[in-house]
Amino acid sequence: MKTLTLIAAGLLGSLISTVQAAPQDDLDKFRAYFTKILPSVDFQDFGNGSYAIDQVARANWEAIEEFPPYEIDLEEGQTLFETPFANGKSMADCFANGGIGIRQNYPYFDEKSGEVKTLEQEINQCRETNGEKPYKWKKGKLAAVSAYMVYTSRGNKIDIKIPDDPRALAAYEEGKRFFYAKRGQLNFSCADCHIYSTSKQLRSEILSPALGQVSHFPVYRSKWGELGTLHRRYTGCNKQVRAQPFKPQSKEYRNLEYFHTFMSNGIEVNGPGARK
Amino acid sequence: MKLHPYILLPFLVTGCASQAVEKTTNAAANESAEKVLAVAIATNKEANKLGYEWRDTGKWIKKAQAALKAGKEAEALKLAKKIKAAAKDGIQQAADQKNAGPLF
Repeated sequence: MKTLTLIAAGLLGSLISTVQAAPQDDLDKFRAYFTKILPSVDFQDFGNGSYAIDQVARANWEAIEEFPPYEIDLEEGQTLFETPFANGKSMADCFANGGIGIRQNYPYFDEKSGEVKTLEQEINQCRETNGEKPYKWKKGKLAAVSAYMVYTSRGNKIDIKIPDDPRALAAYEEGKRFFYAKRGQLNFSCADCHIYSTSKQLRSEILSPALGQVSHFPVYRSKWGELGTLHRRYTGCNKQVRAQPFKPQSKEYRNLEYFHTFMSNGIEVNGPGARK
Repeated sequence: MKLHPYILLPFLVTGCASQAVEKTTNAAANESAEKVLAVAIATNKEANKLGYEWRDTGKWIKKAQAALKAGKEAEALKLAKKIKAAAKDGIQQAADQKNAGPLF
């Protein structure tokens, strides 16, 4: 009986280690793919999206960054972040290190709720806990506060962890499946554009690599004329392939963000960014 | 010229009959469009539940309902069939993509 128990424990142990090895294996293959198809792009430069590929677009973007269009939002975000709530507490009280320089750890798997938590979700959670109304999800004040927090994290390397918890792995796998699944009337997946067609031209745009994409969100998009969150972009992508988008901060998008961000581990946070 | 009532009779009968046929056809199409639309909406809900609803089906449902309300049965039926087909494709897509993963 004792022998049987030991064999069972051994099998379970090897199963867990195999399962935990899967995300790291995914990441290695993901990174290898991009470094193979874009050998001239420096690893950290992947955080600059298509500007790491197209030099003319890069020159334009660098000119835009001299007077960043998100500057006013950053100032607003800082003010909102530092202004105490009615109860006297502030945003800093809700986060590790007072909310400064922590973007690289988001999203993370929360063992207590058994779900993936995003930075934007915790900003609003902080407000609600302190008796304030939550912000709207896709833009405006939420994007501004998030942008400020991201700004304080610039240069920190993305460091997403998939803990040894089957629920975390399930969330990761769901996000991964979402990323690779074709959807909508046009039957396109995230991967179709941002992996297999990376650096190819779609009308006047160069498709950015999925590696490093999350590093510069929230972004100021010229198309929007304002700042928007990553989930706003997910919504837009889904609409573009004519799929019914999910709600921002839905479980689907949070799990997608979990996978998407894990794939960019090691890339420096460089948001907020400016994009067309 | 004064027409004899007996000469007019066949025209009157044909006229009434064609009106009746039109009404029957409309009623049949109406019933059919309504039924097809109900099935289409249910199928679309199923696609939504699977997370594979297409972007425009909701818009088409509203259009079909408006057409039905306006008595434009043929238009409503055409839209209902389109919705049903799109919803079925969405469901099929969900099944096809169940094990989606990298190709490298």
